[in-house]
Amino acid sequence: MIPTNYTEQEKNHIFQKEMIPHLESMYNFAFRLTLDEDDAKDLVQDTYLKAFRFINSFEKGTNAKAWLFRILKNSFINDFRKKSKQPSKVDYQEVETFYNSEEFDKEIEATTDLRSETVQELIGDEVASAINSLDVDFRIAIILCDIEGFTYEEMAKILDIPIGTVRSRLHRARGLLKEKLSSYAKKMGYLKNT
Amino acid sequence: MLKKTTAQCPESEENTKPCNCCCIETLYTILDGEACEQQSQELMAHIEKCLPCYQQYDLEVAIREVLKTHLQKKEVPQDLIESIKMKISNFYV
Repeated sequence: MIPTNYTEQEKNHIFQKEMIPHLESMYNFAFRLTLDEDDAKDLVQDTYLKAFRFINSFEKGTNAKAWLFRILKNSFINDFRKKSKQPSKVDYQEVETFYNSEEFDKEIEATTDLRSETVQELIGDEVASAINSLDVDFRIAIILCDIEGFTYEEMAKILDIPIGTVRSRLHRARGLLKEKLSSYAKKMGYLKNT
Repeated sequence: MLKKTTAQCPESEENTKPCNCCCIETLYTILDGEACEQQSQELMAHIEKCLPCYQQYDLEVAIREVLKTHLQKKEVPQDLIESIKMKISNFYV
């Protein structure tokens, strides 16, 4: 894409009208990544300053929210996570070997006792704990799709991965989330131990 | 519940096969609004007759709902908004 040379007035207009309205989603996304309010504030501020600095590379009429999410995700991966106490990136080789194994199929079968009625009994803290306990790359996939409602194509752009990888990452993330929800339900006595 | 689908029905033979009870991937594609209208209609007709698929569908819908309703939305701190505005205005100084 060829960068546009916006006037100062246009830059301000785009920033106010297209970027600022996504502040709440951005802050919540940042909080779900960092799990810390101060870190989330720093990450969002850093993202907005980058967005303003590179606003010429934003094409008017395209999806500003996806553009901002991509910057935030990259800032988190490249700069922020190095400084924070977050665990290192998921080792996909290892993870994929496991998830393609029979062992994983058996584990997922074991969670088939989870029913919609049980899920509805869970309270907010349990749901938050389940999602926060996922490795960050799986957590991101679920947030982008199920909470923010991005399409697979938008997710592929935000995450810089092919659509096929978006599908497989979501598949694995959801399998893991069900496992976590099931174990919370058992712990709280909503579901019998099998 | 279902995201609005805008996807076109793919021409490939694989995607024109009827819903497979064991294929959760198909269910995800439909719930994520990534399937064509025809696929969605076929699945909905199928789950009305198939208990395991219905339970699976019901569970997936319930999980999506609790994610949306049970995760507390955090309010943006006022000082964050002020700080961004101040730093942006400093670009021109």
